[in-house]
Amino acid sequence: MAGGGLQALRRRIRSVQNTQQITRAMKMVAGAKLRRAETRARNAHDYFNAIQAITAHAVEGTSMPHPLLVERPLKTTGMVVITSDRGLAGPYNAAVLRQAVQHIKTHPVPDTAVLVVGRKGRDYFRFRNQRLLDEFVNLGDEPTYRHARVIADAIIGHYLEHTVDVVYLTYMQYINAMNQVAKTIRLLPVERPEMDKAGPSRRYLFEPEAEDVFEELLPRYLEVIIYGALLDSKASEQGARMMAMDSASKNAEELIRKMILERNRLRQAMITREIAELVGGAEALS
Amino acid sequence: MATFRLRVVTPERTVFDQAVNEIITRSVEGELGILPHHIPIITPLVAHVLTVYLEDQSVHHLAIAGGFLEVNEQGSLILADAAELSEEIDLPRAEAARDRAQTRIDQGGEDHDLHRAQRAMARALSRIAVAQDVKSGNRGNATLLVE
Repeated sequence: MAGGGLQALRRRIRSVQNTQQITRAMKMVAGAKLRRAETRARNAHDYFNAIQAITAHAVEGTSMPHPLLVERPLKTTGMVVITSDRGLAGPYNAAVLRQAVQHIKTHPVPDTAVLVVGRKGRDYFRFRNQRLLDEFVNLGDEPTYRHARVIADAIIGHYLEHTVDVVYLTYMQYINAMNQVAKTIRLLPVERPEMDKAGPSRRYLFEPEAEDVFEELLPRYLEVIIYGALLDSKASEQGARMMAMDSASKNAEELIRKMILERNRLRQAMITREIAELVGGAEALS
Repeated sequence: MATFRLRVVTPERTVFDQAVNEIITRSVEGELGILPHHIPIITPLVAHVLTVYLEDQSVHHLAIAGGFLEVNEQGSLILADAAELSEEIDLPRAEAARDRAQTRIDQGGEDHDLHRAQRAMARALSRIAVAQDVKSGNRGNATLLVE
């Protein structure tokens, strides 16, 4: 009977060791992908900030009633939610989805429709019977500018058709491998920065016309914001996965350590008992 | 001579960030020269060869694949879809792109496709002009008329 328990324990140790090997490998893979994703996100930052600045400057200096700038009565909110296609990324997807749902709850509008990026988010909202306008899955490990353009086009399309009256984006902002923050920002209508009483700080000349500039600039602005969010989300996902797999490996280590102690104790007990039996047998003979 | 800061930023990286005397760029309206203390302006750019005059009198050319120009008292900012300095250009690739675009233009087709092919052509030509400019040692103005 004791031998049976020892056998089972040995089998269990081997099984946990195998699992640990897998989590370790996944951690390494996530780490390598994280480095790439992080570089991409970092490099895009300058452009991201620059277009935000230009758009803010352009929008501030004008009262142009461009369709992407005009506030409308709110009947339907559009939520763009960026999640991952794959799981095993710790709290990554749960955190983004929680933030999105929280935002929907705290901004009561008669109706909400979701544009979702990533299989995890799609499954989540489908399961809850949330109205989905679009779903974008299988973006891979390196989302491209083209992906962002497709998503931005879809958003602008829905907005101009009055399917949605305001659009928010929820994504995971990447700070570093250990730290990511779920964030919601407004995409449309494009926000006008708070104006000083003195009016805009400077007046820009638009060439050819303000209208033409906005026609080019605003869709591009949206594409870049989404591109940046996709890159940030991807880096965050890899970071979260790396951390999750790291702690899984550590937990496995701890478990193995405990089981090895237990195994040694059982083995020792068995040997002791055998010696006792031998001694007992020898005494009986003498 | 007075200078101002020029930054050329693309989604991939910052291509150029230096003090300059003058730049010559090309907006959808036509050629546009920017000197220090230019009035604030925002304008879309087409694919073109950007000419940059540095403080030490040297001239640089960059292939710009379209984007935006913003000028204010802090300097000039070019937000380009893509931008390369002459030594970074892959000439065979640009030539292949030019030939591809030419084939598509010759084939005709829908307005939308044609428009795209023309823009691809403009991008390829600006790259080729910038790359060849270095080879030939030409330091003059290589602004292209592509439309």
